[in-house]
Amino acid sequence: MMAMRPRWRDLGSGGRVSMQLWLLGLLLCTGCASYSDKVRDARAALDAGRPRDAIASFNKRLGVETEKQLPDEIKGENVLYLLERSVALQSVGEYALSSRDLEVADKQVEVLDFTHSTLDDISKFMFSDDSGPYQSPAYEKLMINTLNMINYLVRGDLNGSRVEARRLATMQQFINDTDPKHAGVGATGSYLAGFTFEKSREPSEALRFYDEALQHNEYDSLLDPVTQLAKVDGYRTEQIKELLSHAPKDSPEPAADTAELLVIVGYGRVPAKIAQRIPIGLALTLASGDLSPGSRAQANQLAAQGLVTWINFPTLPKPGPVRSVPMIQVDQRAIPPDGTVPVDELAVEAWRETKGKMIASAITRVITRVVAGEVTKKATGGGAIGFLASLGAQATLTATDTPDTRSWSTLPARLAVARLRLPAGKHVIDVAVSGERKQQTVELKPGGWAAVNLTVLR
Amino acid sequence: MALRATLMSKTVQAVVTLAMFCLGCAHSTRAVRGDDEPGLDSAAMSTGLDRRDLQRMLNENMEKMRTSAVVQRWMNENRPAVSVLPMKNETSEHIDGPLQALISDVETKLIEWGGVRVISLENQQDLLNEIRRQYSEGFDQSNIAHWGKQIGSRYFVTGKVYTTDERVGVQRRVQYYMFMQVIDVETGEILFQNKSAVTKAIVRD
Repeated sequence: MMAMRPRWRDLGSGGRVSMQLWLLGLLLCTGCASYSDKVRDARAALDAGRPRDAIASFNKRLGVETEKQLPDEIKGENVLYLLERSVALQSVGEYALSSRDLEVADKQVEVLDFTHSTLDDISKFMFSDDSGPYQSPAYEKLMINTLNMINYLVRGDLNGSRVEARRLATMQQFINDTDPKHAGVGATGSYLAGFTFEKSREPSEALRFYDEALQHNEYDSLLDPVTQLAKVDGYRTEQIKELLSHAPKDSPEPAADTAELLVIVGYGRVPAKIAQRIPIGLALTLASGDLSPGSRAQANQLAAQGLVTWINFPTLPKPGPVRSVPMIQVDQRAIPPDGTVPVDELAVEAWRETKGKMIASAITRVITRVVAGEVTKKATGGGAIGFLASLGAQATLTATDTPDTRSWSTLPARLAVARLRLPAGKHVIDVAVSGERKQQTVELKPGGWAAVNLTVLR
Repeated sequence: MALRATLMSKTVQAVVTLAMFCLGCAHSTRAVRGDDEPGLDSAAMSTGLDRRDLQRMLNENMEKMRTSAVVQRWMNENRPAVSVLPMKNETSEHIDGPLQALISDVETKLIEWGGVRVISLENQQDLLNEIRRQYSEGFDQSNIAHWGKQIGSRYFVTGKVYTTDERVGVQRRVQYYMFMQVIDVETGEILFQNKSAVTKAIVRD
């Protein structure tokens, strides 16, 4: 019993140095805050409706003075900070800077995807959930190109938007082949890509993208554009045929003195990942399908001995209700939003499918910690010193194990579009959502188009 | 003594572990000059097009053009006026800037060959913007003659870059094709066309 209550003076000088180093290691590691801790200030600023403060907070994290600057090194968490900053920049109307951030991050997200190694997987299972490069889930990858198309369309730049549409198509193809259940989040992107190619006078491409959008969502506003496109291109699918069946016979060509207006509204925010603590018994039940029989038996044994009681793992909480509905008015006439995509719900749905694996890796890390402690105890001869060394080993591994709360947390929870044909000339667009309002006057040329965006991240 | 030795050994292990932690964080950055850093310009840094790729595709096309019938025709026409129109970006990469820079490269080559008068669009920004807008919103072939008259050119040299972009497993491959054309302004006839290709990819070693 006395051996279980060691005292500092029982240790020799070597033991003291060893313990001090363990404690130093522990201090160094506890200094590593989780990702959700690092972006807490920025998220609080967005909640309070202060996007400029959020941008300043991301600038600080990136080690730059202003949003006009890029960090010296674009790797690690800097890639995520750029993605976070890009949406905040879009919300304050800095579309060119938002584009730049998204494009730089897009390239790195791709490289990170391919650089993920077996060693990273081992580190994830042995040391910490957030060791290894960040790998974006499918919905984040699709949102990069979707949000950047908004940035280009509001600036009237079809060239840039077409590049993003092509990048989106490549990613959609990849996700359709590997993870088809989660392709739905790309519906808005497909709609915007279709719009881009329609206005670029490429009807075949436009119909293909509109078809992709219709596969995942209903868009009443596509009836007229698809009807017109179908007159000049023969591309047909079940979705397009179904839509065309509602088209009036001999629908007339749009009048030459009219133009089209597209309004894109992003509002709310996807839930941010948080660390969750659950009892080992529940964890074993939730991860039953993802644990090897050996690990399960070992975890059960350690739980029975009382050596493992709780498991820490990252989770994406259920999204809160999005109470706000965008109010869109054109020349004081209300226009209903069309085909709203619940990005938050789709993100949580995608996360749920990986939950078992996440808990399994958390259990494996706990087993590693306990086993490492036991090995250290034996190696140092047991007794008071062995107990302390074991405690040190376990404490160090516990401190290094931070749940991976990395995620793109500034993504809008909802994306809605509204579209209408108007007489050419000046029009006043009034968009309000989540307590924010934007009024913009657009000058539409005959046969032309314009896109207006409002992004409110709360 | 045995206990002391074990503790010392553990101490050394702990120091080494900490040192590894610190080494993992250590890094330094510095500015370098391409001439001083062998291979800096030749390494591929992404799937985008860099100077080397663009020069390679351009040189291949220009070399074909130099030996083509259209250049022979120019030689017989007493220095006809030629303008280089912007190249159209039909790729999945934001390369409008580098493509813009190629216009000057093509003009330089044409001047070096002799036999033509090169009329640059740089001083006709309004027209250049109109051409870019047309490229953006769908190209209308009938505009060629109109632009030719406005600029005073008999021939246009232009082109487009396309991609085939694929992502499979842990690899992404982008195949670029650069088409270059010489167009007769009056008739809209394509007098020369050639394609060159470059492939860029991200692969796992």
